[in-house]
Amino acid sequence: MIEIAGYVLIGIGLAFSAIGIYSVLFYRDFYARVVITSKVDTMGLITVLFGVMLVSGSWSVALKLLVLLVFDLMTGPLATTGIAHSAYQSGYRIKREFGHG
Amino acid sequence: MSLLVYAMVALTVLLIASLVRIIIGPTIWDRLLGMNLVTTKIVMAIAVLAVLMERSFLIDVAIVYSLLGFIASILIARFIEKKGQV
Amino acid sequence: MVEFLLLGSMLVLALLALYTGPLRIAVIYFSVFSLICSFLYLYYQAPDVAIAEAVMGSGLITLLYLTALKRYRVYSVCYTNTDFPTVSDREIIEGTRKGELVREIEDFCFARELEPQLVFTPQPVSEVLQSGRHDLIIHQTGDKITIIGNRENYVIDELEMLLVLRYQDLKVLVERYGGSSEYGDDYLPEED
Repeated sequence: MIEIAGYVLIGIGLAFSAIGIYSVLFYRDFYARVVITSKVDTMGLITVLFGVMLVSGSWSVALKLLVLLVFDLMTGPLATTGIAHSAYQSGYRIKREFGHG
Repeated sequence: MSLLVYAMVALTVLLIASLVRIIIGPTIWDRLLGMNLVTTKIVMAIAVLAVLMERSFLIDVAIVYSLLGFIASILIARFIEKKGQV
Repeated sequence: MVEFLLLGSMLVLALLALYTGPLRIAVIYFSVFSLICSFLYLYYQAPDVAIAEAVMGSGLITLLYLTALKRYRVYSVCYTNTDFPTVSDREIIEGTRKGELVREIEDFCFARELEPQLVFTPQPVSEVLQSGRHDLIIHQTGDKITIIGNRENYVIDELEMLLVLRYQDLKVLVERYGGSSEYGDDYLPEED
C-alpha cells in the first residue's frame, strides 16, 4: 500500500518536472524561465524524493534522502538567484524602465 | 521494482530535453539555467537508481553532486558578472 | 535504453565543446558533459570513479578553465530594440534574419580573440549609453540597424565593412562617439 503511494508520488513529481522543462523550453523571456526553474523544478525534486523514500521502505535510506532533500532545498533556489542577479547586473532587461537604468 | 525502470527512462528523456535549452539558449545565462536543470535531474536519477539497485551509498554521491553543481553554477555566474575577475 | 540515450548525448556535448567558438560556453558544455559522464560511471557500478570524475570535471576543471579565461578580454555587446515595450528572445532573433546577425557578430569576435557577451534590452539607447557598461550597442528599429561604438575601438571599422557588405537589404548605419569626436565625450544620439 505504502509502495503504491510512493509510485504515485514519483509519477506526480515527474509530471511536475515535465511541466517545468516544457515551460523552460517554450516561455518567451528569460526571467520567466528563472522563476520556473527555481520553483516548479524544486517542487518536482521534493515530490520525487518523498516518493523514493516511501518506495524504499527502510529508515536509513529515508534519513539519507532527507539529508539530500535539505541540501538541495538550500542550494537550488540560491543558484538560480545567483544566475538572475548576474544577468540583471550585466544589463539584461526585458521590460522598459523609466528613470535611471 | 520494475516501475522504477520506467521512472529512470522518463528522467533520462527529461534530461535530454533540458539539454536542448543548453544548446539553443541565446545568452549564456540560459545555458546556466539548463545546467541547473540537468543537475537536478541527475540527483533525482541517482536517488531512483539507489533504490533500484538497493545500494544506499549512492545517495551520498548524490549529496556531493548537488553541492558540486551549485558550486559550478555560482562560480560561472559570478565570473560573468564581474567580467572575468572572479 | 538509458545508457544509449546518455552516451549519445555525451557524444553531442563533446563535439559541441570542441567546436564552439565562445570559450565560456564551451566550459559550460564541458561541465555538463562530465556530470553525465560521472552519472554513467555510477550506472556501471563504480561509485569511487564517479566521485573523482564529478569533483575534477565539474569543480576543479571549471575553476581552472575560468582562471585561464581571465586572460581574454570580454567584449560586451548590447542589443536594443525599441519597437516593443517588453522583449522576448524570439522577437529579437527573428528580427534579424533568424539570428544570423547575432551569430555573425559572435563569430567575428571569436576570430579576433575577444569573448563576446550578448545582452538584450528594450531600454532606449541614451540610457544604455549612460550606464557605460557595453563596448558595442546594436540598435534596431524596423529594418534600420544602428551600430554605436567608441571611436578608439579598432574593431568597429572591420565590423562596419562586414555588415554593410553582407546586409544590403537592411539599412546599416555606424555611429561613433568619444575620442576626437566633434561632439565631445558626452555625445548622445537623438531618439527617433
